[in-house]
Amino acid sequence: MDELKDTNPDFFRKYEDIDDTEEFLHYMMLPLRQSFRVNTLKVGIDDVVERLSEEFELERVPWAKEGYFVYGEEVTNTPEFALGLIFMQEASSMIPAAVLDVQPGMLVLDMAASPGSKTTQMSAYMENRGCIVANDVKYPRINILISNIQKFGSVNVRVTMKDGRYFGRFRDTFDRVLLDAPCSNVGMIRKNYKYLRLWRQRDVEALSRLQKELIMAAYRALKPGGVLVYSTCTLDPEENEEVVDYLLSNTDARLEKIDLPLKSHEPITEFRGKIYTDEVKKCLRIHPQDNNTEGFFVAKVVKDE
Amino acid sequence: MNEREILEKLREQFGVEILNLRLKLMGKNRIYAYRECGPDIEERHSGVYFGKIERDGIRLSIEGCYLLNDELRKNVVELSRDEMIRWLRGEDIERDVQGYVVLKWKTYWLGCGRGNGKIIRNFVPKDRRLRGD
Repeated sequence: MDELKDTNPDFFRKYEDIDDTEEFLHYMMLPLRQSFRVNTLKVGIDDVVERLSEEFELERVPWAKEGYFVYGEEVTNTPEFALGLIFMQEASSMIPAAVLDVQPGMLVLDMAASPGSKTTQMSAYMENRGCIVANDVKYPRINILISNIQKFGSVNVRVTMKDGRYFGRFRDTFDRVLLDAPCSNVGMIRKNYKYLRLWRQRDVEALSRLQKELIMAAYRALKPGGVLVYSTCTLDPEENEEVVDYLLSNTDARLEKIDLPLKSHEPITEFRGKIYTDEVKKCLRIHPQDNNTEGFFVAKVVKDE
Repeated sequence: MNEREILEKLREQFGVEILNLRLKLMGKNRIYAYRECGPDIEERHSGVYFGKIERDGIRLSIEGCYLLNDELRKNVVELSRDEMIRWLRGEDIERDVQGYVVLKWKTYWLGCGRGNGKIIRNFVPKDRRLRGD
């Protein structure tokens, strides 16, 4: 542990103010459990679960009916993976699409979509009907996105390559908007220690500024009566509660409490001299020890009619 | 070949009656399936690779088979579990069939192959194959 702390002392100093429990540090360093989603566009959940149970131990992800934790080696070398009947996705990353409540026929914007795990999840919930505009800003990430949409068989997706802020001009257009924002990836340290090495406070601050601009554009693009989900896989308050607080302070946006069968931490309302509205307590702040997943943050925003 | 002609071919080859999708022909005779949707916006990509027009018929992709699903009524070859594994490893399968067929194991569509009266030639792309023995 001491060796890890030496990797990035600034990170550990800051995180003493966010979660100073031993449990937090312990789970941050544990390898992640593997999980997948069944591709319900192609196959029934029971068919896949019955077949894979012959070789693997499966455990349902409580917040996504088609999500499973999988124990055993080489699930990516099975007929189900080869045929695109299952899609590997970290369990906490299944939360935003579950919260967004998409329906067949809706017009949906996925503002920072690559690699497409949430895009394809929404496509399945929409039964391949309606339309998802799946956007990403970077060319190499666009190719991964297209490849995953292909393997999933999602015909209701159009891929665009724009800076997410571009979508602010589509005022009051989308029934649902997902902003799974670019972030400092602290939640992914469990997957790869490189995110611990890469973490810098000045990047957190730069990302926070970008996230505020993105969430404003996302909210502008949302239809009255629509739902916007903001999520990150990081736990820095500047990229989470502060961004949501900024939206609430500058628009008529309203937050809704998220009701899912999972454990979470109380959101942060005061951090290093900054005070955020108590409304942010309606968000989900998930630390790695809560459900033995990646760390994650999710907010459900509503634009009134 | 236009959309109507592609559907006609699909009817002839696989017994497809109804297609709830739009099809577009792209470079190298590749067919993409899509649904028209969304606002007026410059897109990088849309559609799923559905199959390819060959000299002797339409060769469906794995996703093309799933998109057609219950509409596939003709030239469907059911495999045993062992054959399914062999097929997904990239092996040809012994069957007395001619022309393009779709392969199936239980509810799993396994893509398209081409029979020559002795074997069904395997078209599973290398990056979709099972590894190992």
